[in-house]
Amino acid sequence: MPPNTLEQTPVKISDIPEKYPKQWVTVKITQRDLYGLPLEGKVMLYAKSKTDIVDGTKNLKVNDLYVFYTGRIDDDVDQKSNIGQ
Amino acid sequence: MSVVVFTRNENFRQLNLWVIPVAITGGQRTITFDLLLDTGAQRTVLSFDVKDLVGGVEETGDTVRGSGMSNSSQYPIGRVRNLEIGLIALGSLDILLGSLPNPFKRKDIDGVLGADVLCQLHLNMDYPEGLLVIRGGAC
Repeated sequence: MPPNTLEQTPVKISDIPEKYPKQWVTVKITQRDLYGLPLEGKVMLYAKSKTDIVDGTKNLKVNDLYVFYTGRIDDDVDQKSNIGQ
Repeated sequence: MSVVVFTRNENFRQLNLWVIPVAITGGQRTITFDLLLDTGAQRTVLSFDVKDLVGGVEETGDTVRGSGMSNSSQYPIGRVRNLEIGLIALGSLDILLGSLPNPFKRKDIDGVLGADVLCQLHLNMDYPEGLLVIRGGAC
């Protein structure tokens, strides 16, 4: 499926797991904290499947992204394809 | 000297693991991924997903046999243009590419930061307080 731009305004990175639980997300970083770590960004893609996120992110012509999983790193990830849903 | 401070996050609370955002620059763009800080790993390993997404990570043609806790694999060596932990830029680096060994490969992380990177840093790990302080400039 084609990637969707889901957030028009930046959100705090720390708020993303609650909005997109147990998902892989691709975020355009818009602000960093005093240590240079991602603080805010726009969620460009989200999906339960990492494969979908990798494929979708490859097609984004955007720099300075943050790709991460919003659940516990040892969650059993559902591999069903549902990017952007 | 650049300093980066991490406070406890969910992974640390539940698993006692330091998983930190690290910006990787290949040939085309910079993308940040969550990597496991692993003082027991000799080398830094990045997944092939990282290589595919940042682009321009050239394989040197050399391989290294790596042994984890429960398996052993042959890892190709790739070169990233820059690796940054917050404000700490470590520059060009040869890293290993491949799947993570057990027990990490079932975890949703994109690599481990090993001693080849960590030896360039001053680390202060305060587990009771859930505080990790990283200072650059060790080399």
